[in-house]
Amino acid sequence: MIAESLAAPHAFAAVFDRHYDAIAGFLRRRVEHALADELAAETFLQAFGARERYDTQRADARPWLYGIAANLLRRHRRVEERRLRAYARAAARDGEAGAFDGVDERLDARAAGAELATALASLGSGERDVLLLYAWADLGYDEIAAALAIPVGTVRSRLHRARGVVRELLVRSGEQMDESIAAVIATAREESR
Amino acid sequence: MSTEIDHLRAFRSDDAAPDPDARAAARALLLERIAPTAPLRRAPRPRSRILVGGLGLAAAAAAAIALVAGLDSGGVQPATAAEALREAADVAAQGPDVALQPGQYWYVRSESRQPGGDRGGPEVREDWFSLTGQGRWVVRRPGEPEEEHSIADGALSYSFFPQPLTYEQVRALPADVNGLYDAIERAGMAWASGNGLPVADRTHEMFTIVGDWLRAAPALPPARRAALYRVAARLPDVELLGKVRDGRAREGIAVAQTDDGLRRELVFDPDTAQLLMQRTVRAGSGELVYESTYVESGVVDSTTARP
Repeated sequence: MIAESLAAPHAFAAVFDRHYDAIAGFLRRRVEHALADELAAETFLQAFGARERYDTQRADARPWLYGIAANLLRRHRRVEERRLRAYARAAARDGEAGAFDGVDERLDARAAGAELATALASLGSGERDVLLLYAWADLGYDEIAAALAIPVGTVRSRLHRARGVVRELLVRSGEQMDESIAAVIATAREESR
Repeated sequence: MSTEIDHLRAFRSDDAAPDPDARAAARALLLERIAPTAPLRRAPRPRSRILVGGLGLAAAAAAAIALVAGLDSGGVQPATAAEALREAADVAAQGPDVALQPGQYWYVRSESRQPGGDRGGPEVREDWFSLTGQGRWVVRRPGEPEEEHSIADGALSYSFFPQPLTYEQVRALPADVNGLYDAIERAGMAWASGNGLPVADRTHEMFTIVGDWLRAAPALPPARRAALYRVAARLPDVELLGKVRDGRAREGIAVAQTDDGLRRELVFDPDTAQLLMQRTVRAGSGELVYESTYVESGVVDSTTARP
C-alpha cells in the first residue's frame, strides 16, 4: 500500500484509513486527547512526506507509523509524565472514595491503575516506549526495534527492566491494597450495622 | 494469574477510542497535503546518509536509463543541462497558445511504473482540471477496480504543487524569469520548512516543482511555459544526461538533479518542449524508484471527454 502511494499519492489515504484508529488510540492513552489528536494527524503527514524513504519490501506499515508517533511523543515526555502522576493521585483518591460501593474488582483495577501510572512515570522514556509498543501496540521485538531504530537486544533489555519496575510496584501495591480494602470494607460494615 | 502486561493492557484502554471529529479533521488535512502532490515527493533528508550501491546494483544502472545511441536529430547538441533547458524555453515560447477557457479542462493521461508495482502493466492515471481547479482524476491499476476522485466546486486545485494553485493563479504569477524564479523559490521554501528541511535544499525542491508544473504547462501561455524552462536552467547541480527514451519509447532529452541519494530526471521533447517523463532512480545503482510517462494531453470540454 505504501509502495502504491509512491505512484499515486492519494492511495496513501488507504494507509490512513487502515491505521489511524490504532495510532490515535495509542497516543490518546499516553497524552491528553487534544494533543494526541494533533500528534496523530502529524504522524500521517510526516509519514506521507517520508513515504519515499519507506522500505517498500516491508508489508506492514505499523512499526513505521508507531515509530513516527513515538518520536513525536518524545517532545512531550514531561507532559506525559506529569499526566501519569496526576492520574496516579486521582486514581488513588477515587479508589478510596469508591470503596463504599463494595466492588472489589473495580477497587483492584483503580488501585492497580494508580500504581501503573506511577510505574510508567518513573520509567525512562526509552523504556516506556518499548513497554507500551509491546503492551498497547502489540508489536513484536523486531517490530519495536524497527519502529524505534534500536537494536533488538536493546529492546529486550529495556522491556525486561520496564516489566520489572511495573511488576515490583504492582506487587508492592497489592500488599498495601489488601490492607486498605480490608480496612475500608470493615469500616463500611461497621457503619451499616 | 495475570501478568503486569495484562494489567497494562487494561490500563487507560477507555482512552483509546478515537474521536470521529478529530479523525475527520486529520483525514482532511492529509488529503489536502496529498491532493496537490505530484506523484513523487522528496523525503526529508535523513540524519545519516546510507550508501546505496555495489557492483551488483551497478549492472541495474545500465538498464535504468536507456541512453539512445546513434540518434542524431541534426544541429549542435547542447553541452550542458542549462543549454538544453534554454533551448527548450525558446521552443516553448514559439509554441501554440492553448490556454484554457472557462468550462474547459486540461486533460493529462499518464502511465506510472515502480519496482514491485508492475502487476501486468503500468498504473494509468487520467486527470482533468479546470482553470479554477475543479475536475477529477481516475486511476486504473491492473486487476483492480477503477479509483475515482473528484474535485468539487470551490475545492482547492491539485494542479500546481506545493501550493494549491489554479491556472488562474499561476497566470497571475510574474511572467518574467526572475519573478517566476522567486515565486517558485518561495513555494519550495514553504514546502521545505513545512517538512523540516534545511533551507539549503530549496533549489532541489524547486527542480521538483518545475517538473510538476511542466506537466500542466502546455495549457499555460507560451511565455510562462518558456519561463519555467528558464527557471530550471538557472538551478544549480542540474546535469545533462543526454538523449533517452521514455516509457513509451519516445525520444527526449533528459536532465537530472541528484540529492539525498536520489536522482530526479526530467525528460522533454526538444522539438515541442513537452514534458515526456518524470523519473526518480537511486543515485549510483540507478535502481528505479518511480517513473511517470505523460502519454497524452489536451483541452477537452468535460471531465469525461478525451482529446
